[in-house]
Amino acid sequence: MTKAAKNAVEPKVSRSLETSAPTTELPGANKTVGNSTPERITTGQSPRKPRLMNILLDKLREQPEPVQASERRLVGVLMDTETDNDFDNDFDAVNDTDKPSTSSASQPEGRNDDPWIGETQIGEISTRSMTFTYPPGSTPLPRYTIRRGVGIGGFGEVYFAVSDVGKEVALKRIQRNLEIELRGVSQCLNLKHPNLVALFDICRDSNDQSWVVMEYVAGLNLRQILDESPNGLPPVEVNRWIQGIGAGVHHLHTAGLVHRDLKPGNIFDDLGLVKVGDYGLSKFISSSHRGGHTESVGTFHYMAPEIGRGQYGREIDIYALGILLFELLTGQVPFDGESCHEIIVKHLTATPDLGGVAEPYRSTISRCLEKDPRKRFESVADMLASLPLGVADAGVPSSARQSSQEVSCEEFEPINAILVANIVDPVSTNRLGLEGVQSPTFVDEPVARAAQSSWHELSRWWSGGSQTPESKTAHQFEKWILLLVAGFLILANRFWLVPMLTLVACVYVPYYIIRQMVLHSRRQPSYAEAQRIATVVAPQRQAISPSAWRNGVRNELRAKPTLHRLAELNTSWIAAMVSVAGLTLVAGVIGLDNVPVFASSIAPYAWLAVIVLSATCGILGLGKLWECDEGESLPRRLVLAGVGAGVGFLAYTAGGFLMIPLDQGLVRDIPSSFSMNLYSGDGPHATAFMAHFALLFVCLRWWKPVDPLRRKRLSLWSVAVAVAAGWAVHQVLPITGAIGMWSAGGIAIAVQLSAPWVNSRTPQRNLSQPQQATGDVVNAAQAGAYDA
Amino acid sequence: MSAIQSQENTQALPASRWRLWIDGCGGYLLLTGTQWSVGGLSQATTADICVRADWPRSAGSIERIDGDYFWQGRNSSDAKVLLTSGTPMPVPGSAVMTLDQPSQLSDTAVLSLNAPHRFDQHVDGVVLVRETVLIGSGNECHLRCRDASERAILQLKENQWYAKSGLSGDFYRLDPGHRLVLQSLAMTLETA
Repeated sequence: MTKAAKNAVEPKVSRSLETSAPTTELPGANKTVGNSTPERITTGQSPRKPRLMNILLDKLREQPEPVQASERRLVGVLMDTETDNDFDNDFDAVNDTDKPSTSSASQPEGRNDDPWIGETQIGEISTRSMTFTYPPGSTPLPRYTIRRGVGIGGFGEVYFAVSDVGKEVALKRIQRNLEIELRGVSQCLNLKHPNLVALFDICRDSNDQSWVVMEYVAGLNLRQILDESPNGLPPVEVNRWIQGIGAGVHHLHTAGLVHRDLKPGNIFDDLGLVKVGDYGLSKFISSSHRGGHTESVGTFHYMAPEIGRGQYGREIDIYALGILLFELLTGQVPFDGESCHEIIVKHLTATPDLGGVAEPYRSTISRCLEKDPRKRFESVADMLASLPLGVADAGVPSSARQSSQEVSCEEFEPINAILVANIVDPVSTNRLGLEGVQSPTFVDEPVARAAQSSWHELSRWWSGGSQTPESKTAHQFEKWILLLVAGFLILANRFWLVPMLTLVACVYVPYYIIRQMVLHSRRQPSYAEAQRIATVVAPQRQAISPSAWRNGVRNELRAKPTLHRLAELNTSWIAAMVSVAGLTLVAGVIGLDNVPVFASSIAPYAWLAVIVLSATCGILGLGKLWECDEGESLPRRLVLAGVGAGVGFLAYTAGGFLMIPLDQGLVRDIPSSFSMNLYSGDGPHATAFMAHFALLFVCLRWWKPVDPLRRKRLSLWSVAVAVAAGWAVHQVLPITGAIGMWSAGGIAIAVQLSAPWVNSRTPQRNLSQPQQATGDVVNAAQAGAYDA
Repeated sequence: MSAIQSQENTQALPASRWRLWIDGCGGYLLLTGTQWSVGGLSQATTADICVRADWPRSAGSIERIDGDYFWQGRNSSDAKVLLTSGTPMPVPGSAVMTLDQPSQLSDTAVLSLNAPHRFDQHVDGVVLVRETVLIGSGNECHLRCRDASERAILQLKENQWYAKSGLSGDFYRLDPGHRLVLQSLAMTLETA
């Protein structure tokens, strides 16, 4: 059975009650539940002493077709005599979708003569769209405003509502099985446990409908979480869930209640806390109620086999916990099948396959799933004790635990440890910048303080800082005399002096160490000291990889405002003009050497400048547009082809304007068959120029030389490649004077000189920071560009 | 660059606010515009996005530029940080807020909070709307309704919301205060 089928079998119960809530009617929209597949309830008379499982099997045999995925759910209701009529009315309202819609409160509470009334009612209810009776904004209860529907349970609709003072609650509208639900809820109203969904109150609205006010659970239920983890949850999460569930169920048991409907859909992750909900079906355990005179709504995958014998002790919860534990670990239920009949039979007879479950979970599950309830764990506490759960943390939000784990994993030295290390290790002291700070414990120790003071005085005397120059010679003499006397005394008394000093050391050193430890354990650094130490010992910034650096800078480039970007482009264009002018000047000085300067001799250089400048401006514009990401090559090449065609047309037009002889300088004779559209006897046409430059722009990745993240500011290799490409293109599509080849070189130089460049070796600055003045904008625009 | 993008980049649009309640799914605060202030909840909070957490009243702002979202701290000297999908925002405090852009076809983003923190106004998430919002059970949907059998598309045109079920079909107007039922999805819009 698929997961979807399991979901369908498990939690969905539809409802049929509709009111006149304002609803936009759409053609084809599933406006009411009644518009969808009608619900079908199979009923039958049964003996007063019910045998639920037998009846279930009988009914299933009457319906041999397998359970359809996402369509059916079996609800078995076994009820005692005094509740017959309530169920009669409620289930009548549930299933007769063809009747005019009414509220459950408007249903008469009296007898109903429908023939399907019986102790066992089996319903197959289609899963359909959830259409809630009350739209957001409704106030069926005076102090609560409904915000949205949350879900539809077996007993009614659940809404998310907010009280007048802002308290978030869940409102459960009791539509069916009124007495049963209210009885169960009232018994649970005063239960308090962090792993149980709290019930606050029971209220009646103006239509005499009953509402249960309970805690709103914002998180997902376990069913939704397991659906997203088809192979089960990690062991840590399994432990968290099963411990939370177990704690809540154990509290129910100690209060004399049995949940009887444990399943993933009834268990929630309330912002990190595991909560067991929907325990309104719980029933007090008593000798009179352990028999068959109770009602049960169960889900087949989690239903203990003894339910068929009418036994409803806490063992059925332990059985369900075993199923849940298996599902948490594996993502599957141990007893699955294509039909409800198959599932029930497996519960009754099959041994679960626990081969994929590790110990000790395997033993725990195996004992929980014993067919004989007496062989199972006697209590949930016993069951939890058999698991390696460690410290009870079910009540601790997962986020809090995660945070604490993260903190504990931090590889920072504790501040106290750093302080101790500073005292012992002068190197680390210097590193921390604490060399000028004396250890307070060292100073405070009386003997050490006296010795230090004496040594300090002796040092001052030895250095002779207070001596005048006249007495310096005498002081040197005194020092040497004292040194000799001290050496003589030590040598003369070494026989008793060494043992005595050893004895003193044996006493004083342990005393000193213990004193240090005690005082340091008590002492806390001041805020300023701790902050200074933390600043000094802060982990050094790791050298980032080139790819990480590129990603970081690229992200900052993306953050650049458009105005900032336009300013940069404007500056680049100005720089391009200057660069092209300079290049043209250099080319002219070299080319016009020993040549008479006439207009006709200058014209080719002007022509080249026009071509290079137009191409450079176009490429700079595209580069500015593309600097945000690496981009794809093909689309960019296509765009560049268009720009190249435009440059070619401009070159042809400018050549004509400057009266350049276009038929000169072709690399070879153009055969007439080559292309009449490109060439003629007068030389290349405009189309030839356009094709030439388009090809030149396509074959090179021109966005690379203008990329701010290029390796070098000016790469001669790029210039050489561009010239070579221009030469190659000229061999295919020759144009006048190999102007394309010279243009390629000029463009490669001009764009690199004009485009911004971020030097990876210099400290990175924020490229997206907006500047305050226009001048600053320009400067900032070029900050990354010209800091070579 | 489209005209809309140019307009957004040159001038931050004021945020308009709606709340969308989807039965069986959740409640969401829909915010339009291009820049939204973020802060912790207090009596004097005027932030567009209020979080019930130990955040300052004005923690910073989120800005959308050309489909990318950036975090700007409350100090103008703070660097603008690109928010990548699923990465927590650099807000000091205990709450962890993440921005997700689940759909490649839409620039709309969804803000969510890790447990145990919640947004103000009792909503489960905040949607920074850029024209369309996708609702459904898939991971690519902005508003994930796990039990939804089909997708729905919300679209904002001229300050009016429209919705349709599936990729084909007609749009229906989603008026504030009226519940709209599209197949299995029932939603109600209200101004916030």
